[in-house]
Amino acid sequence: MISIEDISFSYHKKKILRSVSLDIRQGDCIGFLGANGCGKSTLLSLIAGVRTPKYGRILYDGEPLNAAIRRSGMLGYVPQDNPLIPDLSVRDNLKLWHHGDNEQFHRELSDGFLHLLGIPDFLNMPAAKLSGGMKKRVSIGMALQNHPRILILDEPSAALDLPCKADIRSYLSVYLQNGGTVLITTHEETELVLCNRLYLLHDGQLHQTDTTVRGEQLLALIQQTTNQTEGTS
Amino acid sequence: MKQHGKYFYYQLKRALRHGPQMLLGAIVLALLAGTIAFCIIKTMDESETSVSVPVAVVIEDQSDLMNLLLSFLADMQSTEKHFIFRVMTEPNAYHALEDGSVAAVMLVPKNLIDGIMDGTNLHVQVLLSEKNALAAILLQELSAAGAKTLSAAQAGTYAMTTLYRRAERTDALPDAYTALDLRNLSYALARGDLFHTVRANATGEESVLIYYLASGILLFLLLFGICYLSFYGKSNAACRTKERACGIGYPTVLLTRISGIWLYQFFLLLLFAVSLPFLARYSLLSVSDCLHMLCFAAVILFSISAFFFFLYELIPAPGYAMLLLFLLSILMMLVSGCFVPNAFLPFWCRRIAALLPVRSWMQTLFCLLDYPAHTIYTAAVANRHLLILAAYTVFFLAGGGLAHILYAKRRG
Repeated sequence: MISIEDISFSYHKKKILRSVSLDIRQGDCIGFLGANGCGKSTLLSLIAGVRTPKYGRILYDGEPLNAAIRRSGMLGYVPQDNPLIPDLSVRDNLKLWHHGDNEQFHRELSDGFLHLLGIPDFLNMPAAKLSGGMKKRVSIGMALQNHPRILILDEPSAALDLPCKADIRSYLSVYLQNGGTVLITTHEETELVLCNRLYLLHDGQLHQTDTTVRGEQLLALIQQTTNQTEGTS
Repeated sequence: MKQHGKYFYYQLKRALRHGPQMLLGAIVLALLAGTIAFCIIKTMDESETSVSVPVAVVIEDQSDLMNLLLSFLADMQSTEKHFIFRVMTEPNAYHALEDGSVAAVMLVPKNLIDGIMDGTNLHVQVLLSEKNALAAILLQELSAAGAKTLSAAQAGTYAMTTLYRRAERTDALPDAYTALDLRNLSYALARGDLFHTVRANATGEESVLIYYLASGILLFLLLFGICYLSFYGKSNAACRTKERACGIGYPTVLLTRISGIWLYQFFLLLLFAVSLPFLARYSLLSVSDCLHMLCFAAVILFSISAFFFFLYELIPAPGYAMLLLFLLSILMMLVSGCFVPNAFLPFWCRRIAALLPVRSWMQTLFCLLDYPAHTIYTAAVANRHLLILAAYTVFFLAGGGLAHILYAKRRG
């Protein structure tokens, strides 16, 4: 489905990713772990087509990213911060990135993912007046309304309260049950439970980790890689 | 393409939502600009400036008659308060003009008086200094007034001579000349009255009203740019990420940004276009005149929009951009002589002003506000300023676009 082949990326002469390769298949839920600033968000933005790798390539169904793939709505990307335009209403924000027509949009609101996310309750509110949880739901809704085959989520639960985190996890479960593919960076154990593959990003390279690693063990693993990174830098 | 169109539509919708805010900002700025312009006009109207202008006189003919003329000139009511005449040699006079110790040099040719008598009218060459512009303006006005009086007197003399010859009364001509000379002399000595009506102003060829009206309009248009910051550049890093993920590139983003500004400038242009038929009826303008004026207004508005675009892309932080726009607008207008006419400012200020777009904006506004006079007499000058503004617009748009791309690349 997505084939990441030997990609490298530098930012201001600092090497963020070194020869990263990965194969993503339909129905996968892949979690990326790592210390802050290790390059998780960069990797997701490269997969989402926001950035271009310096070396290597990413193939989507065997093809490099092009306008047709973007138009097809294959990828749904939820960046770490909410990509909402504050002075537009929730409806306008959603419609701005909706690929279908009005009828499809209304269907989405009445019984689609937007309905599931509870967005119709605050559809006409200006985005600036939404709470953190509402904003995150709209951000996810913006990505899911186009029925992407791959959902890329960059720390979707950051700075949210517990009920919101639980809601997001349940939305992701439904999406995965419907055959979707999820790429996620998170520090939340409840979200990691959903993953069938876990990768630890350390020193610009991906290391596959046991998905059963939880709690103290997981924390120790991340701590260990953080210390190593600080030691080498 | 559909996604690009949608992005464009929603961004313009966003800009339109700030309409009430923009309107309020416009009213506040109009009041501010109006108050400043009104205060300046009142101050200039009520203050009497005492100017004593040194003038070097180079006389080629050192006759008694010439010395008598010079002392007569120096003692005249209209000149004695404002001018100090210094007789000098030609090299010394040029040197004094160069170092700014005299405002002008008058080169009086030989046989000047004979020329006045027989109608040959030899020219007195007056060289004005760039360094003392206010004095030069005053001297120019006085010279023009003097020339008018002299030519009127000459015309009277010739008319009287012709009349007496036709009536075959040449014998009475000497007495008539004496009477006419006395009358002309009395006019010349009482020329204080003349200077109450022919007013020397430092605003060049423009009337004080047109000058400060143009200044007020320009101040309003420039400060109006601050209001655009309420919607300009509000998309955060996540929005930009989303834009890029959906394939919205630099051209669409830049086009949307400049269109957001143009939307309101276009509204101002529309207001002007609606008022044109009324103006045309009042000022007897033709349809082509109206179209020409609309073109002037469009060029001014679009070049000012391009200036905002350039500045906002150069300084992406809205707070700093607002501060810079305010300071830059006030400074540029001050240096370009929009608050206090250029003639009162130091020479280096005028040199800088020549390089600023404000000068062209002002000149084009003069053309617009005093349309018939400018297009009839200075069409070439007006078109030159339009071309300069078009060049500035292209420069600002290109500079803004480049700044945007560079910042985006730097952010990664």
